[in-house]
Amino acid sequence: MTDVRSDSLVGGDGLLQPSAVQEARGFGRQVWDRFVHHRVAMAAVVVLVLLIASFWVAPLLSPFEFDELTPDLRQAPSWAHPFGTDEIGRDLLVRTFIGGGFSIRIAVLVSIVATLIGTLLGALAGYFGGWVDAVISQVVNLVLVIPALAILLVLALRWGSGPWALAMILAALLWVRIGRVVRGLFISHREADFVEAARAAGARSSRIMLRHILPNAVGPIVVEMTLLVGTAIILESTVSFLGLGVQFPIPTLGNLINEAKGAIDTVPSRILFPGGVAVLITLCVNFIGDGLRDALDPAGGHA
Amino acid sequence: MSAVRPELPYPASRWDSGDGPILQVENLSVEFPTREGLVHAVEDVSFRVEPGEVLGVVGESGSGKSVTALAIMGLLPKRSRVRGAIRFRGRDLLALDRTAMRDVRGREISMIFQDPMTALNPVLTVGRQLVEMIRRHQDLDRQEARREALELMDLVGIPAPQRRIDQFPHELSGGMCQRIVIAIAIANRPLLVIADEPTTALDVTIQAQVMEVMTSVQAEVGSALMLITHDLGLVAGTADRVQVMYGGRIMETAPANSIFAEGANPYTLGLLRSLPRLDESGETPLFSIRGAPPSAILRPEGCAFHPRCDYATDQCVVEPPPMVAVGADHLSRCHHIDRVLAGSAAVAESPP
Repeated sequence: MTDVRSDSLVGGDGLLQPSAVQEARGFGRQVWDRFVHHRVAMAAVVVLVLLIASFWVAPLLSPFEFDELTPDLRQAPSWAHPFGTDEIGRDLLVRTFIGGGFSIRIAVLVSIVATLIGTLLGALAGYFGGWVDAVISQVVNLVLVIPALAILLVLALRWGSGPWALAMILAALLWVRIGRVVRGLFISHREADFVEAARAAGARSSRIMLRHILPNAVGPIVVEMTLLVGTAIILESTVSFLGLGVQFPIPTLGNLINEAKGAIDTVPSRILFPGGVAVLITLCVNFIGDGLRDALDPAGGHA
Repeated sequence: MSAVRPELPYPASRWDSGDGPILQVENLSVEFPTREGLVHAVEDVSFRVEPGEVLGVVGESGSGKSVTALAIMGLLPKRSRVRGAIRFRGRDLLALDRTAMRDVRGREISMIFQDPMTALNPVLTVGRQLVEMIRRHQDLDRQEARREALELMDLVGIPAPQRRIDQFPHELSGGMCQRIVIAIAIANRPLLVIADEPTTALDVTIQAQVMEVMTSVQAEVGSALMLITHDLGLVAGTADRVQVMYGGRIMETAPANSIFAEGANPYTLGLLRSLPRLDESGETPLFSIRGAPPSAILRPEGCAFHPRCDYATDQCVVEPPPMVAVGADHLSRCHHIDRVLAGSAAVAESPP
């Protein structure tokens, strides 16, 4: 017995591989290192953080309230109103920033809720297969093939006038994207040796799913979750643009664009501000998603 | 010699396995329905494992050795059809419900897998995986389980366990990972450890070390070991008894020395002769059993080995041979044991 241990200390086990000793740091640390070296993604993070900070700070500094009526109606950008004013004299700068804040909060909520639902159902479908998979996959396919936007509009008419109700409706449609990804990941991992080993150790299914497979699937889920924020911003804008999303007096990027279309002939620049903010958020979020995807790839090169 | 802790995580009565074998497999058959037809993976297999012994199970791919192991663990896919009985200390494991079976796995019977690099979860530290196994079956808090994990790592010969315990599998070498896998397998002092090709995925230079760790730890913990391999040489040094499988059946079973000295089955002889020998010149071509292992769907009639057997007669083509006693605790499944024994003397001249 003693010789086993002393043997192995000097044995040709490669146990003192220099690379192994040097890389004595966690996977999370490596991912972080790769991410901060991803220039585009880091730039996107900076822009997004500044943008979100401004959604919060700008209204505090502005002399106007977002629903305050000023005597200046339908104005082009000026020093007093850098983004101009709308038909009833509300300052568009403060409305754009407040609207951006609402939009991004809705989008983040959509992304979180959709990820929770998608991960839960996708995991069940992928892990158990059989009739569980059949039922869940049929629901996913149904959501994918029906004209989701049309359904969304009908639902929005009935329940969608508040920002949080709209978020729930969007999440109810967007979870299928996460669901499909997670299902695939669980299918590919459920036969893995380490899963079999966990079963041989007496672990129950819920534990195997939560402790053994989910940590292996976190990367793609985080990426998909990030990209969903972008999708949700666009979808929210679309619905609100069509006049069926969040209702008066709460501004969102979508209904600001909607209101601006009335002035497209007189003050065409008005549409650029909320539109630009929406594009900027979406771009940032997509770049961050790309950066995460590269960083989480175990093969790991820098982008 | 690191002392085995005297206090056991379960009542000592569990160790009173009486005089009988701890595991008794009776007429086990496993079939998988597939699109091409019914796969007879294991047919009418019976054997036993005595407390603390090392049983070597040898055979080519598709001989049913791994399926037998999975059947004992209750890890066969749902669609498989299992008949027979697997008595573990008197209880039929096939009759246990899922919850009861989960308590058996990892605590009374545990398993060592072939490839340590894939059998360990890549995103969890080795310490967490050890602690998980310990806490699944023993009532210990995190701290106690961690201390236990460190002792286990020491037991399987991992240097500087304090540093290694928080590392990830990819930071350890293959041999170190397999030691962790062994530590996990013996964490709860199981009565039986099933090792399925435990060294196949390892560098040849490490194989001997890992085997040594495995058998010494097994002896120290007092578990029986069922060593599944295709390598007769591996079995020669470690097993107390050897069981040779072919085409889903046991062809021969005997104490290890008898198998090598007086193998009484043409298939065993073929395997023995296939071992490369150092005392032969490089000019001599390596021996191989002619033909290929049979498909598990269309097994030959009669003796499954007859198309590849030098001793085969017309009888072998039509009539499946019975298990025949050859010596003390030595059984062989062949119609022509007398002729085979005469031939085996020649091979036995120089055992591997």
